[in-house]
Amino acid sequence: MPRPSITSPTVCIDGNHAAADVAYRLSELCAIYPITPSSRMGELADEWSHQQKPNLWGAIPEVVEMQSEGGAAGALHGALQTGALATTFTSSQGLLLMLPNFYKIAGELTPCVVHVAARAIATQGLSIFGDHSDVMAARPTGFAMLFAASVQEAHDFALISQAASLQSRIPFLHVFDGFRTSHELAPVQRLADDTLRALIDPEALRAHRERSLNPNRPVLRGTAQNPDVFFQSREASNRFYDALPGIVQAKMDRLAAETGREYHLVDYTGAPDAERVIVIMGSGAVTAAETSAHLNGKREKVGVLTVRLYRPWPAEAFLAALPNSVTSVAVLDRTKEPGAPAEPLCLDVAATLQSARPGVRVTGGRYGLGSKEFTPAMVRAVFDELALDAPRPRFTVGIEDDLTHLSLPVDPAFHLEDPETTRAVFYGLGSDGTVGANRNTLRILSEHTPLHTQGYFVFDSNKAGSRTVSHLRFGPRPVRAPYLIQSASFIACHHFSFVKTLDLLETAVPGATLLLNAPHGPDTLLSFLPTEMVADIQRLNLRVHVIDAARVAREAGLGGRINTVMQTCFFALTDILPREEALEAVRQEIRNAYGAKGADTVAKNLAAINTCLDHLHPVPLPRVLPPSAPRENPVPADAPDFVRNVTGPLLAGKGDKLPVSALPVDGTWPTGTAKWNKRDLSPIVPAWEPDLCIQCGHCVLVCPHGVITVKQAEAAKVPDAVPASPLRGVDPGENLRYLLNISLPDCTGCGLCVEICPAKDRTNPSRKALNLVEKTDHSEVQRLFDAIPVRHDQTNPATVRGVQYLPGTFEFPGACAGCGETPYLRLVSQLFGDRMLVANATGCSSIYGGNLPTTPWTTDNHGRGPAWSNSLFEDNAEFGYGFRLGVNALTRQAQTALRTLSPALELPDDARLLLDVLPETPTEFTRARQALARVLTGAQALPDSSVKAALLELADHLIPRSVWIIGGDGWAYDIGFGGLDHVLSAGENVNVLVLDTEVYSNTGGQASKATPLGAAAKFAVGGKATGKTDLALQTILKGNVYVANIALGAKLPQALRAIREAEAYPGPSLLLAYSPCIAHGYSLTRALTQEALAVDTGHWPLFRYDPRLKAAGKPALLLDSPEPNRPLKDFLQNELRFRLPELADPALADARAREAQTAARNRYALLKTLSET
Amino acid sequence: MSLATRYLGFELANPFIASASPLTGKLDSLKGLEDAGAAAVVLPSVFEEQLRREREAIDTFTALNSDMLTEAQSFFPDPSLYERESHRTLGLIRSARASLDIPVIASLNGVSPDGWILFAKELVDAGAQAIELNLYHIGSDPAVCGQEIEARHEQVVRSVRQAVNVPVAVKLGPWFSSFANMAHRITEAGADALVLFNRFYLPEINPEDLTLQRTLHLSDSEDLLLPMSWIAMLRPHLTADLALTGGLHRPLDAVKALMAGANAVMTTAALLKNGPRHLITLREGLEQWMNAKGYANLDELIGCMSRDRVPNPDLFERTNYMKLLDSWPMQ
Repeated sequence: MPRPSITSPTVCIDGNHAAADVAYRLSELCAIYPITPSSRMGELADEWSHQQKPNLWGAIPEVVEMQSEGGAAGALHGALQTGALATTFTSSQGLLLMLPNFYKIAGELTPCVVHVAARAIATQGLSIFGDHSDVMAARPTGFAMLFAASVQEAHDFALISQAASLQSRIPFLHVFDGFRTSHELAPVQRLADDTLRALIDPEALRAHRERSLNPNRPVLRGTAQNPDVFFQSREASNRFYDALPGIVQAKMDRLAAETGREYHLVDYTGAPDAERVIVIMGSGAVTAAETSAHLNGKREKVGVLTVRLYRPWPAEAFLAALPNSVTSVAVLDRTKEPGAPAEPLCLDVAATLQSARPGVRVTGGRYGLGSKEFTPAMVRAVFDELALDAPRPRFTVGIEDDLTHLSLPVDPAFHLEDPETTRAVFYGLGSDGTVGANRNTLRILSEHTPLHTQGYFVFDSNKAGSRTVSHLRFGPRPVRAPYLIQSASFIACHHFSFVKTLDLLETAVPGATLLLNAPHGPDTLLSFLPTEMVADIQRLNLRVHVIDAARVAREAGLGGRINTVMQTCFFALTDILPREEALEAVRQEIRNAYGAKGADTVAKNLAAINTCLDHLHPVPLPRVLPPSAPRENPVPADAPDFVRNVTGPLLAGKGDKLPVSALPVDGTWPTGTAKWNKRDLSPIVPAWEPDLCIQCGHCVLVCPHGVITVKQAEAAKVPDAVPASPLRGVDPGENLRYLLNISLPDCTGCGLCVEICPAKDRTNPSRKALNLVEKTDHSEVQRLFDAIPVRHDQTNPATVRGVQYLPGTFEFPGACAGCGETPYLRLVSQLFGDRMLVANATGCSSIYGGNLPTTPWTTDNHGRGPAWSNSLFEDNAEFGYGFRLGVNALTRQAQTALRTLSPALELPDDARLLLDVLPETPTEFTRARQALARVLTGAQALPDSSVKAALLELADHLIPRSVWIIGGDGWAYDIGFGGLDHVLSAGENVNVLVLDTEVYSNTGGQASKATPLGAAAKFAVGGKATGKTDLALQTILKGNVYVANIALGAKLPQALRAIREAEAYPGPSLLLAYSPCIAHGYSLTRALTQEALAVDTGHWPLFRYDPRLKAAGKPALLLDSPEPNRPLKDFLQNELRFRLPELADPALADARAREAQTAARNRYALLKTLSET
Repeated sequence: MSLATRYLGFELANPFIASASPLTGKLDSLKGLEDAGAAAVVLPSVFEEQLRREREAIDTFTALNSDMLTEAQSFFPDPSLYERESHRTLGLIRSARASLDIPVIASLNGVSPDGWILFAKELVDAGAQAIELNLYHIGSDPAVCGQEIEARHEQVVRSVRQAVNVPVAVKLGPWFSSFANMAHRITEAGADALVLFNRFYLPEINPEDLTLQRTLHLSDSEDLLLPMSWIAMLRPHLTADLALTGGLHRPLDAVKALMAGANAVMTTAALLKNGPRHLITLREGLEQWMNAKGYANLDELIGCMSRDRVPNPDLFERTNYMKLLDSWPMQ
């Protein structure tokens, strides 16, 4: 490969950035709501606005975050009515929430562009990944739809759509593929402001302004129309749609004149005499076109029609672009419309060809749903199918459908990579800097060399210890491969433990380079690799290099950050740039990136660059390979069939290979699967000292990962190897033992158990009953512990000491280490898990709770446990309310049946617990279940009747169900607030648990109405200018809702009491649970101390409001935390979210801190008043 | 009647300097101090470890969880959006310089040889008109001898003195085997002034939960004796300026400090207790006392009771100890 020198100027950005860059420059207002994968567009716009970057006309666009996409669309509609240039960015469910406004905006012929990173719609499961299901739902709205197929096109089409919209008055959806385009890093020729000016017609803009609502020339818009005129009015806009294709093409032509980049409404590439053609939209078109070119080189006659303007459907342009030689067309849709004769694009094409080219055979297939890969092999499979005498009229490609047999066979060996393109795959650990370093590498190469680049990053589903895979391509020709690397010439593994379970060499080509970061030298490395991997290394004759990057980084003073070291090794081992030139570019990146952080940080990184190559060693391949162990299976052999056959492959990264028949038909999955995924996350774990332990149970309750389990057992049944201490609170003569076990492979080493442990060695207080130590093999102790039978002598759900023994039905969530949310869920599951229904709003808790491959929700020894479901983000309160209503209906029927049959049944005394007196204590529930069992035995002996059948069918409902509505503050305070307010007002017995992190955690730290005054967050860059909404006080005013502010880490007994009271309260209850989060910006090893500070300083006062007390003539509000005894700043100063604004504007930050102090004081005073009245 | 004095090359309208405290940490209270007559202000000490930790915290907590999850590339706004002032004191220096007419002195509490120089330069670049080096060292390492510590201190002063082009004061504690020698070496190394003395903040033991707790005991007039005596003893030997800090609460305390030989006096605890306007009380009290005693200016007062001028200088040394013992009633 020729060695380019550093010259060419381009920007290396992703699709979101590319679209937002133009959208921002052409807007006066961005009204947004965060949703994956489009969130970044709004965030960038907000950052630019904060930096006072002007738009094309010199004004600073305003960026507002709304409470939902529905709100964003409303604000967009309103702003457009005033003549402003407004936009929004969205995806998926967000786009669905905008649809009503889309009809209005289009019906009123209002120009605007909505930029969409297209994403799947939740059906049998939620998918945050890309397909066209969302935008296809917008087809009837009247919006035009322009599909970009690459990052450059997402940039160019943002302009074309805005220019054409202003010119035509038709609003646009500017669509590009979620993740594949929105998140792909690629070099982009940035459009100059002058180019934007060249396309935007000032007259069209003036006309838009003149159509605005204006009291100086008032009009009426938005009328209610009667049958006499509605239809005609609906047809009155037809000519605007008729004119649109011409306008769009004219704008495309103008762009071509300005930039040289040519686009058409429908672009054809391929053989001029093609017989078989694929019709497709979005990034898949690039893959199809490249494959077509390859096949034509093999003397096939194929081609690809890329549809860019999809609505209005450009039939004329389509027909003009389709070669006359074509005999068959396969239309590929990235969406599914169950029950339809074909998918939408296919139907459009079929309808067009039916009259104009009736001889052309049209088939239709689905591909790429939910970001399923779409590769050249799949394209070839489609072309091959078209070549058959009788191709399948409807098909799928990219999966194995062994049920309805719609899928096309795909040759897995067919790859299409440019041999001159370097293909590099990097396996890293989340936030270890690998992805950031790769972003830098791409920037260096694309902005400073003539090389063409591409970067794409894949993350697994865990929040703690997540795995990242970076796919980088660079070469002398443009990279036109929007799919993951299938044949890699360079593979780097930045985290050595991956070699044990992952097939890292799956994509390696013969002679490829393998770079391992390992704590082993070149002479011994091979003996630590799995047998299969060593065999592959030999078979493929790989060039293996090893470096102990952790050591190099540590010695350079970089702690655990290995990114600089590994990036340097990458440049040294590849031939992309002359070594010294590459290293100098890395040095310059470091100066740019770290310069502001101080000379010492720069110096440390530069030192790492200078020394690391001395530690990079080639690994010789001996003739006789050393013995090594085979690769570990991701799940053990004794796991249930489903876990072995489905969960196991998912964990091993082989989920793409599962056939349709392996998967549930309706999205219903088993629980209890997290325990099979032993992730071995932390080398440092807690160790228990039985002699010091006071058996308080605090550690059990605060552990975010549910890894601590305690038991009471007879001494005789406890093997010597299992640590134990005499059980406190019982007669010593009973010889009972207290056992505490930590499931070490599931422990993240967050240290919260150690932080809360109150038991210290009185002669050496630095030693506690729990201390962090280096992990050793614990599997035998774990096995023995699991087998020890349990007793319940000290079990008591009413006390912290007693509740620790209740089995948790929520264990090992893949949440962030130190997560503040999960301990609440664990505790709730301990108390009510065996009869819980959970409605879970979309967000962090639905991801660590329900993101495949595994779930932490599990069952007890009786097989009972929480039944969990996620409907949407916005409807969770209503969803859970529906649970309650449904349960009520079925419970009433069951009770009626029991009452009807009771004369014939010899009802035990405890049957009253099934009918009249609801059980409250675990003992009462046990008795109720026993009574139910006897009732059922008796009922089965009765003659058959409809009543008997009803009782047997619904008897489960005689044990009261505990309905829980769980979500974060983004749901409760913002998008779900209306529903939550309604459900709380409705009086039904539901328990709402708001895991309040005071910020949108799952989508990356955007401000919610729960975000406190002065806290920095996305969309509150300089600190939030308004205070946190007081959801508790708002709800207390309803009078009939049990409300509590709790902070588990600050005051365990209060939280336990409130949770139990809320559940026992026969009406609605609202628990606001303070939840430390990584988005607060401090080490969560200190989360409990900080949580206590939140209470002590008045940031988070603890209280319970129980309407039953009011009915008894007592003050209903009970204050559980004393008057704040420390200034609020003691809390604020520990968190980066409050510190960042100080850097930007200390005076403003101080003023807000003072205001927050006053507000906290006033709030406490108000609560105190309420507690006394 | 003139209260004017010279300290660190500045012509001060009076000898009262507000030393580092929360009052000197905010612009509005700095203005209050100036309005009340402070002749100069020393901003809160920049601690090297804290400064480094804060810089790292920003990097750590903005980068720590970045590029970890599919849905969230980061959890904070881009850190480059913030001014990246490495410490709010740097911003404070800039704004104080823009708003105040009195000299702004920055205080630095370093750890590493590089840190002292690096951060002293940053303070000066931000606009500090003088640097006060706070040599705060707890000699808890049995492997390190006193000579080594003293040599390190000297080196720090020498390095900073060479690195910056503004006056350098050095704040010291009294705990050296030969404090006079140490003071001499520090001034030889380039210190333009000595500030006596540092107060060491020692933690308290909580016997209930077996923890150490931070404590803060403000000084009172009793604490004046130690720095006053040392200033009196050092004055004849040193040409560098001397400032007294610790124990200055009443006008008469200032009189004594100046008599001992201080060119300026610093006060913190009294201002925290009584508010910035206590400076007026101090200044007017000093003025009244001087008037009553016939002193026309501070030159007449400064050093009049230093060791070389008092009639019975032995009292500053062992004799004082002997006399005290003699006067103790025998049991």
